[in-house]
Amino acid sequence: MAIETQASSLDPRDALTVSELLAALRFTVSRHPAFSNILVRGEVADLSRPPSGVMYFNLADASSQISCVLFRSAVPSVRFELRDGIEVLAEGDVDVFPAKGQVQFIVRSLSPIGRGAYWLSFEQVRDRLAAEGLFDASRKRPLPRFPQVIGLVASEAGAAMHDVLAVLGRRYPLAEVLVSPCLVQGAEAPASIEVALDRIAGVVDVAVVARGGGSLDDLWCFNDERVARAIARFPAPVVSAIGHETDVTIADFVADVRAPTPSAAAELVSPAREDLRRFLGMAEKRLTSGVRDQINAMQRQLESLSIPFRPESVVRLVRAQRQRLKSLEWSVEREARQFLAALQGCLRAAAARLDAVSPMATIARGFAIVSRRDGSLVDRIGTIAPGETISILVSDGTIEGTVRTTERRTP
Amino acid sequence: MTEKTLEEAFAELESKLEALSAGHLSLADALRMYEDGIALIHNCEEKLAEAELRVTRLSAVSTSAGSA
Repeated sequence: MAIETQASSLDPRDALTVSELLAALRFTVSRHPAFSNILVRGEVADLSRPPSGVMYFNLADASSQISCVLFRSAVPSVRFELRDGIEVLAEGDVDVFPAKGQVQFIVRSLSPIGRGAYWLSFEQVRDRLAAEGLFDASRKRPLPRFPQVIGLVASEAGAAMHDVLAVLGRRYPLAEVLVSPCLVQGAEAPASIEVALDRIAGVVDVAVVARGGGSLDDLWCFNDERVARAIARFPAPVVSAIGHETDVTIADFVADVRAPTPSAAAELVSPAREDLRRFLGMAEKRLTSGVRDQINAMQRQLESLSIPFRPESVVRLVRAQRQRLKSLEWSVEREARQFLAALQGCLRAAAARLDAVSPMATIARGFAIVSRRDGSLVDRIGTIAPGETISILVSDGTIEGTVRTTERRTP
Repeated sequence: MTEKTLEEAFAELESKLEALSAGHLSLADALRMYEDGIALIHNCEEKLAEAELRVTRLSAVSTSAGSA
């Protein structure tokens, strides 16, 4: 009131200087509770970020705008990338900037609001990590076939942990599971997940990060950049299983494999015991048929020998031997020793029969089985040296002897 | 021998199968492959039958200590 009265007197000596006016304005505004510690919502416009590190922008709505300053000390509190057009909630104080006679809003903290706020920060983190190449297919590591230690990062109270342990116990109980508990929702969760992962880094062959279903809010910690980076730097492959199949988080993008559910993640990191058993059964059959093929090859060799008095009995014998092996092939439970004994019996019988056929008497000696001490067969001059002990298997027994000389037959 | 991991046992078994099916072995070697292979298979089967999942739980860690 007093100012108005003095101004109307039109005496320049009574006038305020501009600085005085602004100082008075500033004083009034800064003391007024309606302008301190307030929340303002509006759309960001004309954002500028000079090298000093201060951020300037306007907050606007349909008909008004106010210029805003975010000082360097407050910049780290902005957890998203500020840009024009974003609707934000700003907390701070109104101030007057005397040099421009301008009202300013000094922003202390800033957060995105509105329906798109979540997705805005989601997209920003995702785009930034994508630009760094953290989602590249070339970064994806294959899962180990037979992990010995499986890390499990999950809530101790959650169903996800129970599901993973149940599946692993059923499918692949040969592994050790290292459970690293963490919080899986709330503001503390990202740091907790990060620590839980870092703790088991280098100790496990593969890690599962799991969380059961929940609301968008509940799952939000898995969109946190810290979680994504902890997964990216983890030294072993990471399988993510967050929420339900339709929930996709940034943790899923950066993980080596994304599983639709925690149970599915457990299946991905463990071979099924039944599959392993099937493989063993198949291996046993292949071993047996491999040996049988070897015998068959020998039979063919024998048949192709053009001996003047080729007796049918020899061929029959080898055939019998082959039959016997065939039946062995299917009795997969039989011990290898029995198999060996059977084969040796066949060979012994073969030698005996050969001996019994009189025109073959001389040849029979050629079919005696000569072996070294360790049981390996002597089938060439080069495989035995004078002085070595040999064992000669004939029709009715074994002859031990020492090699005196060897002589290669001239063709 | 019993300390062989399942992964090692499977790898060894696979290499024996390969060697045997390649067919360049003498009879004695083939029989030895067979014998060793069967022993490996029994060993693996035993492991599978006996195994029980071992679970180790780390204690929960507070993150509010500000160790960031």
